[in-house]
Formats: sequence, C-alpha cells, structure tokens
Amino acid sequence: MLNEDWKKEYKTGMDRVSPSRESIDNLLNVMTSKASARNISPRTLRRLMPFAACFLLVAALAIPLSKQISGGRSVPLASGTGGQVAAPYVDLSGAAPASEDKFSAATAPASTPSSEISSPATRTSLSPSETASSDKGDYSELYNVMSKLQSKGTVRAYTSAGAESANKAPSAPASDSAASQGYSDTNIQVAGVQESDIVKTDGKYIYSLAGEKLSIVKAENGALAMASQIPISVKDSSGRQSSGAFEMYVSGDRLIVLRNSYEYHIMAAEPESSNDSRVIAPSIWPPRSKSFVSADIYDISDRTSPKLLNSFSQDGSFVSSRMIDGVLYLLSNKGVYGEIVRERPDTFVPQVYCGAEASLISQKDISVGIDPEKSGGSAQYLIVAGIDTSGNGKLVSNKAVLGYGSQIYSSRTNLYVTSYSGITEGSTYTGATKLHRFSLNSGNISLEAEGTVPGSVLNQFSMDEHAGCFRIVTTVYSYTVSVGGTDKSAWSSVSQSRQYNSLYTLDSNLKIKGKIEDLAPGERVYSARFIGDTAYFVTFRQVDPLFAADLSDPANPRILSALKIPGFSQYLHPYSDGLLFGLGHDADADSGKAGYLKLSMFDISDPKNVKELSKLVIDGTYYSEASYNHKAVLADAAKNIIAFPADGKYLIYSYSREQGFKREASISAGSSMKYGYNMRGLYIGDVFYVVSAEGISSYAVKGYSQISKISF
Amino acid sequence: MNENTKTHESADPRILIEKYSSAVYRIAYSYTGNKHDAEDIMQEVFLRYLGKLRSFSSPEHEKAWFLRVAVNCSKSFHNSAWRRKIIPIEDCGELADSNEQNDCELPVFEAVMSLPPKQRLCVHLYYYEDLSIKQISETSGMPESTVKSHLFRARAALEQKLRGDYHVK
Repeated sequence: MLNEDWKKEYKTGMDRVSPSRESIDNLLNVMTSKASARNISPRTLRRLMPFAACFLLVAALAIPLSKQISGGRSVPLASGTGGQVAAPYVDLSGAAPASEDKFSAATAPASTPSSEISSPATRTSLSPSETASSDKGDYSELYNVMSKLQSKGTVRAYTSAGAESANKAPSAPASDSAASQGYSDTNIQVAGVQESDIVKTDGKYIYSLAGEKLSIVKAENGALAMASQIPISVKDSSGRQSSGAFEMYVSGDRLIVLRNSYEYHIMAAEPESSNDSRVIAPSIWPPRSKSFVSADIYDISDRTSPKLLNSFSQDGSFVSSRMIDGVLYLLSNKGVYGEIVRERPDTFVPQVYCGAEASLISQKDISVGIDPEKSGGSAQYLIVAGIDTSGNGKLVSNKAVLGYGSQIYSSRTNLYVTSYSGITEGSTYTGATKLHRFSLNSGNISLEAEGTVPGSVLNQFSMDEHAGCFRIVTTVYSYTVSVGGTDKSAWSSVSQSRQYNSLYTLDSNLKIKGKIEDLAPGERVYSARFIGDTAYFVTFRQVDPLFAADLSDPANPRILSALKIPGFSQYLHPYSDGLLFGLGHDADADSGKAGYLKLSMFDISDPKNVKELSKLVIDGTYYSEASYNHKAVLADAAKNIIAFPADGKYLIYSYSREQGFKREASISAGSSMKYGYNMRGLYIGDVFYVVSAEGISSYAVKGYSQISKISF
Repeated sequence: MNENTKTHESADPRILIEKYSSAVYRIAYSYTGNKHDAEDIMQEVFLRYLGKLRSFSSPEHEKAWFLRVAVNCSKSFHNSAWRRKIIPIEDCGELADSNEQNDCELPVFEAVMSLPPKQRLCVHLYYYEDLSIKQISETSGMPESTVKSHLFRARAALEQKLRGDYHVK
C-alpha cells in the first residue's frame, strides 16, 4: 500500500507527536492516587458528562418506581444532551431517594451477607433524629474544612506538616522470611504481619478464591477433597453490587474475605444556570457510584459448613490491608464528592458499617492536620479500621485522615501509609511523598506522626522499619516547563528534566535523619529490600546497578557498593544467609531494551562486594505475575524451592552454589489460564500444590510427579 | 511497534503510563487531529483502566485493550453531541500547532492528517502500530472489508495529494 518512504515519513511525523509532560504528570497523579478527582482536568470532567446523561435516563426509569415504594420526591431531570451542571446525588439503592430527606435510609446501606446465611447484625439503619441531634454540631469544623477544600480543587503547593507528634519509638523487629514449619505461607514482607491473598493454607486445608466462589479443599498427603464451597454474593438486597471478592485471610477458625461493593447513584441536573457551558460543578465526579470495602468474617470451625458471622464495611475504595495476631487492619480511600450539606454529616463524614448498621466516624477520630488547605489536602479521606476477627468479630477502632493512601508498610506495631502529590514551584514541577505513621495495638489505631520525603515510592518493599528507624527509597522526577506563544497558540516544552533516586532514614516523628540523594541519575527504582542494617535496591536504565547501602548509623547512610550487570530485578528476596534472590528481566546492555525473564542469585555476605553468583535467563518467557506481585513468588531456602507462575506455566526451580538454578518442574496451567494469572504454589510437608482458578493439582516434592487433582 | 511492548514489567500504573500513554495519545491524535482532545482522550482511557485493574490475562491483551479503548474513546469523543455543539473555537484547525517545526519537512504526515478521521485511524493502526487488517478490525470494531476500503481510499487520496513530491509506483 503506502510505499516505504511514506511509511517512514509518517512514522517520523507521528513520533514527534507525544503527550505533554504536564498531562503525563497529571495522569500519574490521578493513577497513583487511585481516585483523586481533584487532579482530573475540567475538560475530562466535561467528557464524563455523557455518562451522567445515561444515568439520568436510568433515573427517569427508576424514580417513578421508588416513588411508589417510598413516596420519595422525584427530581427534575435535564433533557437531552448530557446535562450542563449536575448536582446532588439521588440514591437508587435505598428506599428513599429524595435528596432533601435528611438521613434517608440511603445513608445506611446494608452490607452484603450472603443470602443463605443470616447476619447477626440488625438491619435497622441509623435513625435520622438520632444522628442529626447527636452529631450535627460535632462536625461543623470538618464541614468548614471540606467545603473549603472542595471549592479549592487540587492544592499543589506542599508543605510538610508535622501534625501530631509522639515520642513513642517504633519497636518490633522487621526481619523477614516467612516461617516455614511444615507448610508455606503467603510470601509476606514482615514476619508476623499477614498479607491477604487469593490462596491460603493452614497446613490441612487449602483455601482458594476464584471468581464468585470460595473453595475449601482438604489436602492430605496429596489427596484432595472438597470440604465446602461458598458463593460470594454478587448483589445484596439493598442493591449494593459486589464487584467481587479479591483476597482473604485465614486465622485459626476464622476466614476473612475482602470484597469491594458499590451502589449506583444518579445525579439530578440543575437547570442551566450559566452561559458558560464549560463551567461544571465539582459534584459530577464520580458519575455513577459510591464504593465500599467489606470484610466478611466466616466461622470455619466446621470446614464443611462455613458460617458468615459478621460483615464490616467502610466507605471508599480498597487501598490495602494487613493482619496482625488475628486483628485485621483495613484501609480505604474515600473522596468527598457531590454537594455537601452541613445538616447532613453523611455527605462529608466517612462512615463505617457493621452489618447493615451505619455509623459516622466520630469527629475525634478524624484528623485534618494542622493546615489542611496548605498541606496539599484535597477533599478526601484515608480510612483505617482495626477489626478483631476472633469471636463474632468486632470493630475495635477506626481513624480517618484527610488525604489518601497509596502504598503501605506495616511492622507489628506501626503502620506507614504513603501518598504522592505534585509540587509546583514557578514553572518547575516535582513531587513528594507524604507519610503517616499510625501505631497499632490490638486493633487500637492512633495517628502518631506525619512527614514528607521528596519523590515517589515504588511499592511496600521500598519501605522498612528497623530498630526505631523508618527507611524509604524514592525516585524523584522534576522538570521545568517553558511556555511561549500567544493565548491562541500557546506552546510549552520541557526545557529541563531530572530524575534520580534517594534513600532517607526517618525518626519516629517522621523527621528526616539521614539521606543519600542524587543516586543513579536518569534511572528509577525497580526493586528494593531492606535486610537489617543494609538496604539493597535496583535502579535501571540500561544496566542494573544493585546498590547496597549501610544504614547502621541512620544519620549517615552510605553506599557500600553498586553492582552493574545487564538487566534488572523487579523483586528481591533474602534467600538464605548471605544470599539474595532477584527476579526480573534481562536487558540489552546497549539499548536497555528489556528481554526475557531472568533469575539472579546475589552473594551479599559482604555488602561491600556484592556479586552475582548465578543467573538464569528463561528463554522465550517474557511475562510473570511475579515481576510485580510478590505474592505470586514462593522462595523457600529450607525446602530449596523457588517457584512462580510465568507465561501460562507454573515453574519450579532449585538453587545450589555448584549448579546454580535448576528447573525442577514446569506445570501447565490448563487452557483457560493461558497466561498463568492468579496461580499460586504452596507446599505442605513433602507435597507441592499448584492452585489456579480452575482447580488444584498436587505433586510429590521429589521429582514432581502428579499425585492428584481437583476442579473447583 | 512501540519498543516497550515486550517489557511486561508490572501493573504499576506508572509503568502502564510509561508503556501506553504515547500509543494511546497518538491514536487519539490521529483520529481527532488536535492535542487537547488527544490529552483528554488519553486521560479518559487511563481512567477507564482504573476500573479495569486486575483483569488482564496477558501483556498482549493489555496492549490490545489500551489500543481498543483509545479507538473507542476517540470515536465517541468525536461523535458526541456535546462535542459537536461546543467545540472551542481555538481547537479548530490547530492541527499544525503541535508540530509547527515539521510542517514543511513532512508532507506525508500532513497529507495523512488531512484525510477523514476513519481513514487516518486505519492508516495509523496499519503503518504506525503495525497491526494487520484483522487486528485493526478487532481493535476498531469495523468489518475487515471496511478497513480495507478505508486504507485503499487513503492511499488513493495520498497519491493525489502527494503527486509531484514523490514518485508513486
């Protein structure tokens, strides 16, 4: 068709078309803050208007219905073209959709106990008078803050605000490597701090969450027998949609399923009040739903007949969770959208739900910081709840902080939550990570400190707490934009950009104690792991420097060595004394172009002289969930197993100094699991189990011959 | 192909942005012909991705998803009644402004950008993203025969426009 010259020239032209740095930066803010509506450009908000139009149509159908049921008032609907200004929500899920009703039932949406199991929680919702009288006055300060933040939009200026200080030093050792007595646990970061996953085992049973089903399978020397299956309800009676259970915990005789759910809302439009069709009220985002995170607690003392005991929910979208000694810490982000009304705290105060019972988080448990408007605040909350999962389950405490959570790190006594925000100084853009430290004590959560470090955080492994000191590795990106031209044809270009990596040590008040900045300019952090007094981290552009840094004097961290090898590791795992396992990709040393999956074993017995002892490039295999999800990795030195899913197979390796990595088995994942997503491996005694969304198969650890299999 | 397509690093949004923002932006640009719309579409595509997290079964699937949603968003963006009504005056005919330096150097690029949107889109997917006609059909939802005819007409139009500049076989 087109000749080659044309093709080349078109490509050359198109190559020069690329998104502005500012739009990428904006996108980054939106994506890393998950749902920070404040960063979405007004143009995009306008783009979402057609959605609003759709929901108005839904409303048109639904409102007469709810009118019949509850006598709620219908709301005038805008006609036609995707509404100019959308204002208050009307809630479709509850029985009373009228926006004027103070405390309609809609403010207390029921959570989702699965239908055949009854919830002990009463299904009465918060009574209007009760809440109105007891809480109305308490939240006035919060109301003022929220209304200011809402009108303000994104606040980019960022100042560090050390809100509440505490001199309590973080304790608790932060050593890693999972306990391995007899069976393997989910690959966790900190010993004694559980992380949720799609597959769990307690050494006798294997629990698997796949699709809308939770299966409990008895595993005995490779023999597999289905004990029970629980359907995870998709919808509850009040219309809250479950968008799926995603992960779970097993703690003794309790099984805790985490799930997201949401409610549809529609928006009533106001008559066009402005001639400027570009002006859109901030209330239109999100156009359609309110989301919740829930933890369902099941009694599994009889594995053949699990019983739903209780269901705890909170507003917002899931951030992360941890479990320490049977106490679940659940984190969510909730944005405050739509019109807020002073007399209706539920329009701006986050809520938690026990069963169907809703309660507002009390004013004393909500921290707005010293100067929320100046400290980069926007109209959103991070919510942390501590839920004791023993007995029938009990909400021990909850806290809300203005802001949001992105990555979390938890030791056994302290929870650190990060959030990233952009900073503008004149025409220079950069960003900083805000940190919150909460102390955790059997479900009691208290906000202890707030701090900030430059740059952004890759993941939980970029953080660590050791001997009272918090350590973090970040990547800083900054650029300067030049603007020119006239209003009608303005241009902008990035005149200067800089990227480098930094390591910070912070005290218990989250004040920076020591730092190393300006590492590996032009590169970013690909993985990190802290082992005692030493930090290991990988940055990458063309070749992979694996840095080792000595943190034994937190005030004076120093680089011990930087090992340069082709490729990069995306996950680092302390394998056994003196060995560090790395999983990542090979790369072309000249172009930096990433290649096949690569395994490395590093000798870290002398951090000043780190060596790559052995490496294995897996030819033909590019993709593994393990390269971004540590829970997909099983690395156990005692059993000499390194295993992970990759390109539709489950691969098992052993490692020895003499032979390096040796493939022990390659287990095919079955047809519908073509890409090996959501596969986990585990062992119980001398039997290895591979769990996929389709079923479980068992293998003898010696030789990996198949023993049995079962389908879900 | 974009050189990052074989990296498969991570579902980290930052990496996804690194990997796909340019491809998404260019598709949007090829369809709408202006950078403001392209940036909006890019943002919308990634917002839609937010609701999609965890559901890709493979890197190929991931890339295909981004391309397809970019095409869908571009088409619906262009077609929306709202858009037709309030297209800002300064957005009209600003095609040249993002590559003002290249105007004279790249007549082929200019010529492609002057084709009707659907032809531009097919040319872009075929020559820039190196998709096959079948893949373009899957990505854009147009029947293969329609894709073929868009490409055929695009070529004919380009020959017209570029006659004299280039020798056409």
